[in-house]
This record gives sequence, structure tokens and C-alpha cells, in this order.
Amino acid sequence: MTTPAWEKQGNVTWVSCPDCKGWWPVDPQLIERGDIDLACPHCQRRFKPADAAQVEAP
Amino acid sequence: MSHARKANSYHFMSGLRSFLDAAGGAVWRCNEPLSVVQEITALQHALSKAGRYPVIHVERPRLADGSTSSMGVVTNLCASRTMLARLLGIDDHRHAASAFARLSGAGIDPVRVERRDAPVQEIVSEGKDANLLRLPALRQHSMDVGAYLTAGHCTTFDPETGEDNTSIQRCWVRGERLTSYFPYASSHNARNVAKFWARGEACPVVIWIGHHPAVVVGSQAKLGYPESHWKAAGGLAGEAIRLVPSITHGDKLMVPADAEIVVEGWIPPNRLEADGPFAEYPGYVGVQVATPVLEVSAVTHRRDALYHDFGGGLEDHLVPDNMAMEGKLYSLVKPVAPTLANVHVPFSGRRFHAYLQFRNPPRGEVRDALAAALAYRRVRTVVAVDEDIDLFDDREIMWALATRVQWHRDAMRIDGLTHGNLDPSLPPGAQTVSKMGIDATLPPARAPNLPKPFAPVNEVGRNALEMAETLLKGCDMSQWPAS
Repeated sequence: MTTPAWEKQGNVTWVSCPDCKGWWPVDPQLIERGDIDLACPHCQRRFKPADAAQVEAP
Repeated sequence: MSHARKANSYHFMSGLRSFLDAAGGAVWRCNEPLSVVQEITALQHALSKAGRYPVIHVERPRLADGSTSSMGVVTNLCASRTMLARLLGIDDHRHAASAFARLSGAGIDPVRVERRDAPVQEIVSEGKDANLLRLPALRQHSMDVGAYLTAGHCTTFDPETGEDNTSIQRCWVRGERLTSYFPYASSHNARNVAKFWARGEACPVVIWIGHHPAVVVGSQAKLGYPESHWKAAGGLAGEAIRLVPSITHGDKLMVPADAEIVVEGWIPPNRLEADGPFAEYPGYVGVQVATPVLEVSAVTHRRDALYHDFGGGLEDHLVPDNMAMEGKLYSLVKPVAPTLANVHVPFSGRRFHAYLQFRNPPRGEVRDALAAALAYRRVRTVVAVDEDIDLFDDREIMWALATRVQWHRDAMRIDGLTHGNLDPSLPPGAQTVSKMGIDATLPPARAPNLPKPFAPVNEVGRNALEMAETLLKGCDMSQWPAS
């Protein structure tokens, strides 16, 4: 089913840290690449996107 | 190797400290040991809410580890349009658009000085002695990933022409000699980086921090590519910028001799790391992205350097760039719309809105002007109004929209145009954007001496108004409801 043009869609992908479970917004291209460590702004943990506790895409 | 050197005893008019000395009551000197983690930025938020914009000089900032920095922090330097306009020799901030267009177009060539005459190279730390963690860089907002250089004027050069470019870009301090480096994809510095990388070479870069606000604002003039900012900055500051060869790159990358701090280094090819989140100019958090990094080769500074910070997303961050945008828009629109009288890029619209004001435009000219203004990448909505509307009062703009616009007739939508970065409203994956021009001017009179064919505005007589204002001058209004 096609979404009507007038229905607003979100545009931010959120990631949850595997250590502290904190959430922050990440560019989906950074997740798709997979080879660059994400950096948690809450606990400073660095980890690959595949190791995220959760990824919430719009 | 670290070494100190005594500079010649002279005073350059355009340094940050000469400005602070002369600014008197416009500077709030805070002796409290405020933390670089959010506390200084919180002051800016509180002042913004109160509608007051002093320069803030925190003399003894507390670093994240609890120690006291030997460098003071200066912020809110550019939050006041009134003060910036005065520093640029503009009689009224409301005249910034035409003045910016004129002054940055005229320009004054920079002059070269020797290192002995460059206060910014009084202290030089190279190699392993260079340490960014000694700078009192702020971690401004709760979701910022770390401390950022926010007022770093990043200068690179075009390897084909040698022409330099300067732009403010955020740099996350990731270690003693490593920062992220985030030039927008469409920026001139990004073009220079890409050209070096295409050759398989690291891009040389210098970041200068802290200067007289007239130089800070002047260096943000919107120019072509490749085109050096030194001349335009001199034009706006009213005197030549004094430049000295950088320690790492020599004559290829000059730095302002009267800056407070310079970070020098290289952007290694094709190395990308995560940067952000960071509180950005639209008033929202910019998402974590992949950006180049900057490997630091040297840090130089004045013996008693001051660290300059821009408050992300606050007036301090937006006002100088918006004033420069006003100059750019004036230059773009005036040639196609001679009746253009003024331009304003309001803080309320961040960098996405612009207001144009016209003096009796003939039919068609307002739409020509809207099309020209919408071509400017950053602007997404442009509103055109008449001379009776105060461009600097959003309530009057809203009144014009409410009372002078029929959408089928006066709204002009253009889809598929380029856009400014960090627009939080963009749909996922969008490469282009929809823009809107709105003609909120009144219809023209049939002849110059006839009234416009529109209802007249409610008015009281001038004498009655002056009497009312005189009467109110003596009143204590502190107990009266504000809304």
C-alpha cells in the first residue's frame, strides 16, 4: 500500500547503546556502512553498528 | 617540542582582547568557576530567554576533570546584531544587508607579517607536545558526544589554484592530537578536501580561534569558489588582516597573526570516523554522521590566550552568519529587482527563512526577486513585503501573511532545488527540497500619485501617538501584565 504524500513520516534513525542502553540519532548511511564505530554520547562506548542493542528506523 | 617567544610590544586594533577592553559594560566578566560541561552554555540559554546579549568572559572555567583552565572562555561574542553592526561601522543593524554586500565586495588585501610580530605564535607546541585537551573546549548540550571546537575558522586551499578558503566547522576533540572535521558536503572546504583526496594526498588545514568580532563576522562573508576570505574580512573589519605563515604549512596556509589560538594539521585521505550528535543551528540535535578527521601537527597560541566558543543553535551562533546571508541575498536579488529595499534573515527561521522588502515594485518584479532568492541554497522560504512592514518584527510579517496573501495567487512553490544541510524537516534520503516564495506585498496603485487599491491600515494621528509615548515614559510598568 502506498503512503499518501500528505501523511508525515519520521526521518531519524535511533540507536541504543549495548552498554548503557541510551538512545541517540544516527545517520542511516553510517549504519549501512557498518565499518565505522558508533560513539555513544551517554557512556562513550565505541562499537560497530551490528552490535547496537537496538536500531529504530523511521 | 614546545617553545615560547616574546612578541614585539605593539597593539593591534583588531584583536579579541582589544575589543574586550573597549567593550566596557557589554561584557559580563564571570569569576565563578563554571564548568565547560553545559554550565557556560546554560548561561547563554538563560540570557537568550531574557532577551539580553552581553559578551560572556568566564575567567576561570572548570574543565571536565575538575581542574581549572589557565585559559579563559569568551562566548556570546556575536549574539547581538546591534553590537556587531556597530563594530563593522554600520550605523544600524537593520542596514546590514546592503552594507555587507558593499563592504565584502570592496575588500582590503591582507598584509604579511613576520613571526616575531605574530602574538598567536608566542607559544608553539609541535608534535607530541601539541595537546588539544589543554584547551577549555565546551561540551555544550546534553546529547553532544563530547567537547567541540565550535568557533574554529578552518582554512584549507584549492590545490589547483592555491586559493584559500575559510569557514567555521565543528570539530569534536577526540584526543590530544585528533579531532573530527565536518565540512558540509556542499562547502568550499569540502571541495578542497575532495581535490586533495583525489590525488591520494592529505589535505593541509589550519584552524584559528579567537579574533576581533569584526574579523570573525567578516570572515563569514559568502563568496564564490575559489575565493579567499582574507580580503573580504579586511573590507568588513575596515583594516587589513595581518597574516603570518603557519608553522606546519608555511606560506601555503597563512593564519591571522592576531588570533588567540591556532591548530594546524592534516586531513588524511579517505579516513572517516563518527562525529556527533551535536546541537546544531536549526535548534535540533544533528545526527551522528561519518566525517573526516584532523590529525594535529602543532598548536600555537598567545601567552595568555583566550578560548572563543560559539553557543550552538543560539543567537551567538546564528547572528553573524545570518547577517552575512543578508549581504549575499541582497547581492543576488538587487540586480534583478531594483526596487529591493532591504533583506532580513531572522533568527526565528534559523537559516531557512528570508524576508525581502520592496519600495513600490512594478508588476512581476517581486516574483523575479523571489525566484532569485530561492536559488540561494540555504533559504527555503522567502517572504516579500512592502515598506510599511517592519522586517525585524516577526509579528508584522505574520500580519502581512494573514492580511495580504491569497495562497492560489501569491504562493510560488519550486520543487527539486538544492538545500542547506541539517534541515530537520527533510524526508529520509531527500537530495532536493521544496521551496516557497510568498508575495505579501500590496497590489500596485494605478498611478504613482494614487492610493493603493487596498484597505488603509488602522492609525492614530502622530501627535496623539507622541503624547501617549511621552505619558508612558514616566510609568513604572513592572507590575503590568506582559501578555
